[in-house]
Amino acid sequence: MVHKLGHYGFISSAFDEDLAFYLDNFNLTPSDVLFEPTMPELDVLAFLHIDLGSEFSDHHTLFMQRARPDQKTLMHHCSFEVADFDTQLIGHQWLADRGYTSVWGVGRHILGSQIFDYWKDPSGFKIEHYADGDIVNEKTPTSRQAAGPDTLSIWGPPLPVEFVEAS
Amino acid sequence: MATRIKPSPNSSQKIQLQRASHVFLRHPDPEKFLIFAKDFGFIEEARNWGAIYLRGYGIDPYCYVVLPSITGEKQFEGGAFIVKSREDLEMAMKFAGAVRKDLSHLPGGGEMVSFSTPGGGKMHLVWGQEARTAPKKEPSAQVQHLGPYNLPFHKDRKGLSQK
Repeated sequence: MVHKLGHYGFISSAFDEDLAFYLDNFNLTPSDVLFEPTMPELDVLAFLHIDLGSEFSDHHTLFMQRARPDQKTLMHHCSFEVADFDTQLIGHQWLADRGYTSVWGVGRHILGSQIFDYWKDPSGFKIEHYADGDIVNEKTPTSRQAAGPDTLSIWGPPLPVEFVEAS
Repeated sequence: MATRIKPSPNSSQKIQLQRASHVFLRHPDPEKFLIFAKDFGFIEEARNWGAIYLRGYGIDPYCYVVLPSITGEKQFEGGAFIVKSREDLEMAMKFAGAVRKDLSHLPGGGEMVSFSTPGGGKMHLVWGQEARTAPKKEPSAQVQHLGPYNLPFHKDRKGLSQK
């Protein structure tokens, strides 16, 4: 059983405008930012958390990725929390046994630390089970680093090409 | 155009989100998706005018809204956030395409304002919704008791089994 909606994210062809909209109008703030390795002034991905002051909240509730020039705005995935690592593996085996399409997982993310498991639903949307994510508050600094496969997982299967594409 | 993200300190001028609540997704074959959704771990909570409301075991009356596709293609219709006050809902009425909707016929009730983001995406804010009562312990069909991991040098789970 899933607990709750943890986060969702999309690839935006109006990344700067969309990000400014969310940051200027809401109590959302970046936990982690990734920039294009060949263009260090170009931010390409932002993980945003809800700023509740001293109260802790999930490392990211919304994330946004800059679309390549040939890409349109499209959702990437939405993610739902499960209890723990055991539950994730039980869930993974259950979905595999039923013949559903695994996208990526089980593994552990670096930014946000979640144990992740991505699946493709029958309509083609990507959907994630996650557990053991970080929580942050106003004292947590925003970190910024170069994007790349090394920022995605500390362990788990190799990153599949279809994960990077929109849902 | 600046391409580096600027710091964004909070202020009383901003709409105050409390938490993420649910997402809206359009499916070409909702019934087929529902079989997957049940296997994934969702519970069907309600149906209303073609929309199907799925929940987890948390405090949100629903966390995934299944909508039928209009075009035959799948489509993401945005995420919904709970806001802290009614004033936050009022503030959102200034956004492009803002529409206010009464949710009293749905689980938890409340009100919602939906609008578009500059990139053409959708976002929804909910206020006045009654939260579910979540169980004190994480429910599971398989796990009876899970304590701390017993590590090579730190065995914090003493005299209790993990199953």
